[in-house]
Amino acid sequence: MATPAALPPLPFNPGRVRSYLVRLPLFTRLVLLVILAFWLLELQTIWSVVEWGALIPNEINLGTMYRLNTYPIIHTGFFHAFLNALALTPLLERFEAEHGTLTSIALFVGLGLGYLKVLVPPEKVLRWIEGKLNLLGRLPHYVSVDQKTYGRDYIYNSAHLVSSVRRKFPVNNAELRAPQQAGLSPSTRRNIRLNLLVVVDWETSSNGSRSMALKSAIRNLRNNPQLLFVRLPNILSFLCIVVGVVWLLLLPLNDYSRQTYISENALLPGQVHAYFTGSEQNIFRGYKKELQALIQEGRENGPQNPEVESTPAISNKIYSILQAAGLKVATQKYEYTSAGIGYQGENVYGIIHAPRGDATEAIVLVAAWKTADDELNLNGVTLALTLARYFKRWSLWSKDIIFVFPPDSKTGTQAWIDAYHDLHPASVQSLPLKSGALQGALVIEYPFENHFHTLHIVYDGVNGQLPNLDLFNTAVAIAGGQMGIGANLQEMWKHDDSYQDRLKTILRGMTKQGLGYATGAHSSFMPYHIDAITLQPKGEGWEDEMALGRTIESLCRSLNNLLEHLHQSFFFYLLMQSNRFVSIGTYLPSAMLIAGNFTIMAIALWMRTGYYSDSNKPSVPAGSEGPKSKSDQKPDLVAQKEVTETKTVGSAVAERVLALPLSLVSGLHLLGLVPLWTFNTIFHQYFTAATYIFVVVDIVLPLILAALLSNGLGIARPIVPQQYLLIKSFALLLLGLSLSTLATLNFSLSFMIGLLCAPLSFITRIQGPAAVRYPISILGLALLNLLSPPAVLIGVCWYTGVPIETVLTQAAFGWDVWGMWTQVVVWCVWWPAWLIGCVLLGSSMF
Amino acid sequence: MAILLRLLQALALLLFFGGATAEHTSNWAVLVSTSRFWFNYRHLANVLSLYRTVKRLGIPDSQIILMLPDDMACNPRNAFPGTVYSNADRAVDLYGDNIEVDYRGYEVTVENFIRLLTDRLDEDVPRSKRLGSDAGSNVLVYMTGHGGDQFLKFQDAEEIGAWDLADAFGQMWEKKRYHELLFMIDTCQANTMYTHFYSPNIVATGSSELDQSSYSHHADNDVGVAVIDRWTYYVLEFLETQVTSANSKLTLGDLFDSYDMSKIHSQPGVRWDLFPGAEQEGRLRTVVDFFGNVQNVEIENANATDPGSLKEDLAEIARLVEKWRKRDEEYSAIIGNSSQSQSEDAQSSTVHLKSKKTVGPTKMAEDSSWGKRLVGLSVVGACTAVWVAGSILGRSA
Repeated sequence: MATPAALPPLPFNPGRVRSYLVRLPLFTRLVLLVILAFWLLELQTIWSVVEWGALIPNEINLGTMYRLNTYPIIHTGFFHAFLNALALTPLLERFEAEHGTLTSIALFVGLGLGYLKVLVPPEKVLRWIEGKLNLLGRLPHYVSVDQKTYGRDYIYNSAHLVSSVRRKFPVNNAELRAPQQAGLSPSTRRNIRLNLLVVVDWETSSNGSRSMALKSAIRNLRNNPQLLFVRLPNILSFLCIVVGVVWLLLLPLNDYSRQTYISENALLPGQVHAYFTGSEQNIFRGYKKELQALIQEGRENGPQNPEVESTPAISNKIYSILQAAGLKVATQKYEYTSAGIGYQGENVYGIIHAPRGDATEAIVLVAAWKTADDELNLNGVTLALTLARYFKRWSLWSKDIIFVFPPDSKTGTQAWIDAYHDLHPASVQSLPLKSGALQGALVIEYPFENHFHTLHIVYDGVNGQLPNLDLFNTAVAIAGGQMGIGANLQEMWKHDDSYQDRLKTILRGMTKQGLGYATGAHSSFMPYHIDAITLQPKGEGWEDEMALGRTIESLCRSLNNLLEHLHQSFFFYLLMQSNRFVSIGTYLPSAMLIAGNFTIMAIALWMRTGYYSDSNKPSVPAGSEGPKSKSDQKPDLVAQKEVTETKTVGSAVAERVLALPLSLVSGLHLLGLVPLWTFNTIFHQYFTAATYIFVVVDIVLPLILAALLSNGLGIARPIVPQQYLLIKSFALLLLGLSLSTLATLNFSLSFMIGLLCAPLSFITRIQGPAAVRYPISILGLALLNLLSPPAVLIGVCWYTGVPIETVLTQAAFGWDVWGMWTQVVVWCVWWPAWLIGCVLLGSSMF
Repeated sequence: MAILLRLLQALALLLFFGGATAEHTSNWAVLVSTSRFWFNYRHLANVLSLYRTVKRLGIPDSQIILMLPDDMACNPRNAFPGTVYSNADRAVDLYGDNIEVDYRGYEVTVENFIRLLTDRLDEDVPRSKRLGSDAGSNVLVYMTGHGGDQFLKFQDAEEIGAWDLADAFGQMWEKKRYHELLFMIDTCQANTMYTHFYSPNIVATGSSELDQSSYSHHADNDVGVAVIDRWTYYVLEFLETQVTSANSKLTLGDLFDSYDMSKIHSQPGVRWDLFPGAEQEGRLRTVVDFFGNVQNVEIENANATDPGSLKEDLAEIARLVEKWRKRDEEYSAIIGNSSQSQSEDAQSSTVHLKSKKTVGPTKMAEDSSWGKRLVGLSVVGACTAVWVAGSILGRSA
């Protein structure tokens, strides 16, 4: 990878690590060796070292007192041993160097701990013996020639080195440590240092070929920052993406997912008999006939009324039935406009006041006249009416029960729930009748006449919010356990619990969550933190509307048992089966890794932009001087500056030119507001055209921007290569930041956008001869354009067969009515990042 | 003086022989449920069932302290308002028409419970909230709720520990508030609750061992919750079917032998060791000794030397007075010796503490370090010797 900027040196010197290890003092080595030995010993299974040497109070007697000394050096596992050694080494090494080997031994083996303190010889004696033995001098160790200038660790020493120095300069260890106090002149110090360097060189060259290879590898690493700052981030970023995807693919496995369970004790699902049978069926049939007559009438009288449309007559009928059942009833008119389409209707709702409750809490039952799929929900509405009459006669409710009958699933509940919390727009009427805080909501859909087989539970909310898992689990437990009706989710009608089916279920859930649209009347409740699900009977079977009614009765009894808002179980989860899930702690790393890849790349780019290589120095006017020019001005400091110079050989600190990259990146992010506004405001019939126009804009705009940048925008100097890297760095930084934040709110959206943006990490300005640059950049741009937001939209619409206009109308409706913010992420996070990637690639053509 | 001592000896002898009576004069019951909320219906039902049984066997309401933290009968979720049943057949309404709850709702706290047992209550607390037991009372304490290893939760807010309970009973014994005590507890890991009891004359039994759950027996599908716990259910079954009258001769041994682990689904436990005569003696106590009621009257006999009698108290006081006087003399002697050397006039009739010696900084003696080491060495040597001796002795034992 060719880059104009050179690279900073490695932040550490690999050679130094080796020299540090080689020069550990005697006792420190011994301790480390023993720790290692005990760890190796523990690997065999015949004799347990831990059992033998651990400090167990009950085991201590005269014969096992050795445990008092063995326990610090025996560890339970590799990481235990490794981390402890890591923590111990610098402390012990330093201590031993300061106080001597014998003192260290005395203290370490417990003489200093107190229980054998009386045996410790006086320190003077220890020191004297130490001096005679010269334990520290037996091994190579650090000698600070001049600590102020070079730091404690700068030059290393070895045994023969010490002796050679001794021969030349009759000084002892202490004097080597502090030459200034020993009265050495600066020139003598220089000489010592030179000698040391010579010896070191000799030492390295005289060693065996095996260690030569290692050393050259270390030296290569040191001299080749390219590896650390260019190749490593690429590898890391790529790994992050791969691991992120693989992580997601692992989730369906048994080891990573969990069986669902009811966390909330109060729910007690399925512990009550449901009595909704027998004579209630006659009531059901009666109500149904009355409604059918009205539908027939509406069909005959008004040809402008499609048959699924709710009419005022139907509203009135529902009103009167509820009132006759003894409920308090009210209506609410509403009107919405989005993308040039008007939506209006009238909600009817009735409240059963808990006969012995305190009216501070309520449960909601919703039956929309039209289901989420725009079918006539006649059985659902009738069932809700029958249940209203039936529930009214029970005296065991602790919460009010509200029955809501909106004319359709998309708008009605939204208008009602907004008004319930007094957050409705002016076009929506206020509610004349209210109850307490809503604890949960159930939506009934039964849009066909035949008997059903299973219950499909829909739980996705707007913007990917989910109801508490306990509600879903309760529904599954009651449907499956008590009523003997199977439960499905995510339209997986035949789920054989295989890996594929589990993954498919997760991916379907993620798609809905990522797109963030309302999947049913229940979705509107989620933003208000009201847990809600839709129950849809599916399939051909022998369960009738009474079975659904009993399920709902039992569910209501469970919700009725609640003492607090559902809070025990998870709000962030991915379901893969009606009784299996993964929670946020398990799945979140997947999206976080993908978001993290951008951040890693952004940081690496930022570090790279701070340096220039030697070869580029002439071409770069500013920033290359720094230490060198200073050292020229002050020759007396040369000796000290030499060090820094050798360290930073081949590169120099550069100044970053931030103004243009910053303003470009923030400008392009603000530019995202234009499509955001356009696609949420224009009339629905222009959506398809606008999409295609936008595809063209996406092709042309990056090229224009790239050309302008390369030619200096006509006003400023031409852009320098460093700025391209900075632009990319900022763009990726913003992308990584946004996506990792988003991952905690809407995992699926973050994951999808992260994957679509993955190529942006690896796109850069291409250099080289024109013959190479042009074809590569044109090909790259073409491929990138396939991944632009409008192109992806067109592709998905073509694949699924849904018209673009429908998708965008739905999106605009979501923006206007549901408060959906998927568009914001697309136009203000994804699109700007994508655009910058294209500009970088395009700039290689100019 | 010598005569007095001899008299005391005689008194002590009398006491020793006269104290071993097993009669009790009254019965008290403390029945506690510690959990609230609708889904803990069964804990209230447990207690109310026990309440009904002890009332049936004759303990009057005035001698039953009933603690109920929640009102299940009037819970809006109750499909049968005003009633509490402990069986799905709903044959007996435990709430009935004659029930006296002494502590209810948020009055059921650990503090109130311990104050009740130890009688540390304000003067204005009514009699119905007091445990009026005395040295002749047999007390039944029954507790149920959610518990764990050595604790029992009260009301989701606090818990009572096994030591708290042991100390409360210990203090009851010191204050002569019971003659014999039967402690019963039905909760998860119930048997851990009585491990720390130390005061005598207690028989304790619990529903489950450490790390075992106590399970509910069955649920009522109309009430919608479990109505009774297993252990309590089978204890009640025994009491209701076998102990049919206050004259029943069935013993505690019979009751504990009726435990059937295959039915209870946990391992019930019994603790006898605090009872005089341990299991052998304890098993012979009849069930109605604790669940029934006796109303023996003990006539205050001027010559009686039973625990609590006037004579015994007087003897005890005399002994204390003698003890203190002796101590006082010794003390004044010591003070007198030390003050004599300082000044003669300080020796007044009353004893004063006159230590006005100012404490100056002590010089740390460095020269004696070898001496100290020697001392240390010998101490270590001595300790080692003791240790060795201990190990050897311990091995042989």
